[in-house]
Amino acid sequence: MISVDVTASRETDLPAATSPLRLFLAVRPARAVLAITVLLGALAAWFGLIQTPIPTSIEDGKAIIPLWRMIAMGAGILPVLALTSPLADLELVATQRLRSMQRRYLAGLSIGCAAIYLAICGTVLHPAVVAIIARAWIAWFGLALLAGAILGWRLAWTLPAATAAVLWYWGYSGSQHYYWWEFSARPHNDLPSLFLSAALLAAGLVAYAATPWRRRRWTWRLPRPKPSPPTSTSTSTST
Amino acid sequence: MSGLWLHIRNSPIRWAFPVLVVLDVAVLFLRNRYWIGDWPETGAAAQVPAYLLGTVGAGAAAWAASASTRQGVEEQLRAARVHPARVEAYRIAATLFVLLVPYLIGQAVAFAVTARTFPPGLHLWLGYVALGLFAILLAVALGWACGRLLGPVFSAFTAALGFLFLTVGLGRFEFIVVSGRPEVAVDPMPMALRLGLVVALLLIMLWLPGSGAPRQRRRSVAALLPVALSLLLVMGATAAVADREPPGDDAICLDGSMRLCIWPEHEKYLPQLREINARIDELPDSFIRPPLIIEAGLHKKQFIVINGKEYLNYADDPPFFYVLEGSPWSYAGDIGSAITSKTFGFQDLRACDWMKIIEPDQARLAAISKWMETYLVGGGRPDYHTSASQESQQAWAKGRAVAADPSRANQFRWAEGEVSDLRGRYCQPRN
Repeated sequence: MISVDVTASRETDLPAATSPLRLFLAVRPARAVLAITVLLGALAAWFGLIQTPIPTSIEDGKAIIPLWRMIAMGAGILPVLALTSPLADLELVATQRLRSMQRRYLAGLSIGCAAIYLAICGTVLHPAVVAIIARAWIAWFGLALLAGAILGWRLAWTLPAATAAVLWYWGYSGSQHYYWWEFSARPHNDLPSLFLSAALLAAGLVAYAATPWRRRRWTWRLPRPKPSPPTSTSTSTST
Repeated sequence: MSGLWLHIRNSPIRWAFPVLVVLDVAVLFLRNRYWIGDWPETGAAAQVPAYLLGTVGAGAAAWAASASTRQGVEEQLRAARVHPARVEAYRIAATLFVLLVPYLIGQAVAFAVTARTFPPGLHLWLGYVALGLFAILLAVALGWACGRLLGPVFSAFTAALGFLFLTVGLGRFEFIVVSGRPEVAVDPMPMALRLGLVVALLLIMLWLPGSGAPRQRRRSVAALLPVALSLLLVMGATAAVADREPPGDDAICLDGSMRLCIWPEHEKYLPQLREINARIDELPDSFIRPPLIIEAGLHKKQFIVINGKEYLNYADDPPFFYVLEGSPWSYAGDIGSAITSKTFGFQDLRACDWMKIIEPDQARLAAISKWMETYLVGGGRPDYHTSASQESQQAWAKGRAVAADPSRANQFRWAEGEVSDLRGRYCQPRN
């Protein structure tokens, strides 16, 4: 906490006596993320129904993809991008207090972003479409968390973007039907893609929770590997 | 050169390279394979991944562009012995290498696969290569601009999403094509103009200030605007893909009871078309063949002006067919309907009156046209989906059931009977 305190007050000229929460928020782009969410929501509401032809693996005539499916991916990534912090290297050694604050921050911001985005979409788009967006949002958010936990929060967009390329290219099975794993386009009452979205979210949350110390604890519960024979160490030192 | 190689090896997006290669080759091959042996289709098929690579590539370019800001070495670079623009040139070149080479590998693989038979029309392949090249260059330009102008957190995200928006906005300007039919080709002039403008855009980016630069230096961003606007203008005003001149005498023709002509680029379909031509020859004489049938685009389009408006004039043209996705069902269907239309005299308004046709007879017509299609293909199940009504599908099933009859004599007897009966109802007898 000390590290945050020092740097934040230097950069932003905050008064010395200020709450830890404000210090936590001072270095994180929460406001920008909320603003962009509102912007994306407005874009989805205004232009969401514009359809664009894109190449797919089967049709000769291009398949049609509405803009709201593309924007939903962006909305799902945003809350994860908000986790980024210029002090990440220092925060690595932070304790329980910062971790719990980050947890609450992520939960609050993601739920808030989803609510804002869906509410803005809901003013214009059909409820069934909003339901699909909500399901896809869960899946994109899970994928972004997964990528962010592995590659770093600022690279959270990589896995969703690559997944989107795969889904939009191979997910269309012709004549307005999609494969069961195309969670961004299946009808709103489709169970398999709902389960898939939930599984992706769970994977993302597990990746978020799998901090180095937890991973160490998890592997300790497994039977410990036998100590390696001394011959191997001797060869490695000799080479 | 060693400086460029150093930048490539240390590029922040070097790990994207294998991913992009795999994505490109997967998009090329985990699809239909009808493009093999046909140059324009080969180029178009290998150009399709450019759109998907562009989405990821725009984000990756932004990530690479914002690397110096992210690492906090912006000031060191500005104070370096070499000119900042030169450092930027190396960084952009390395980024271009990582993002362009996967696309070019895909095109090279596609080239190698088609080069085994080496059909005519190689220059058409080059046109589609340029089309995909433009998409990637545009993605890099967009990504680099985002990476330089926005902060390191949102730049890559904005670039990837921005490229998606761009494809939506440019969707109608032949930004990406799905198939390279022989009757169209990439127009060299508009393509060169687009490529030149996007390269100019990339060159201007060498002088872009970073997102951390002082305010007065950030004014140079305005230099991007005229080039970007003129690029959009060019894309809106010119068509990258245009109709080709008909090949004239170079067209390949098959003679028989009906002359059948195709584009020279489609020579790989000759064996199948020969079979169809042989089946046409075997048809009973009560089927009247048009003297000539051509592949779409082989004759120059003719326009007639009525009340100051231009209309396509089909009246004097021979019937034509398409080869869609290399499917024999597409051209057999077109050829079959040309024959049935001539046989039943659908265009012959003096002798026939098809306006008063009753429902059951319509079903019989549908049955015979589907019989014709299936017979010409040589049997089997059609490879297309349909959303036709239940009644017409039943009629089609009837026609296909006849075509499944092993005895060709029985098929022809049924077909002749239907033709003479239906013609007798709606047409005056032929003299």
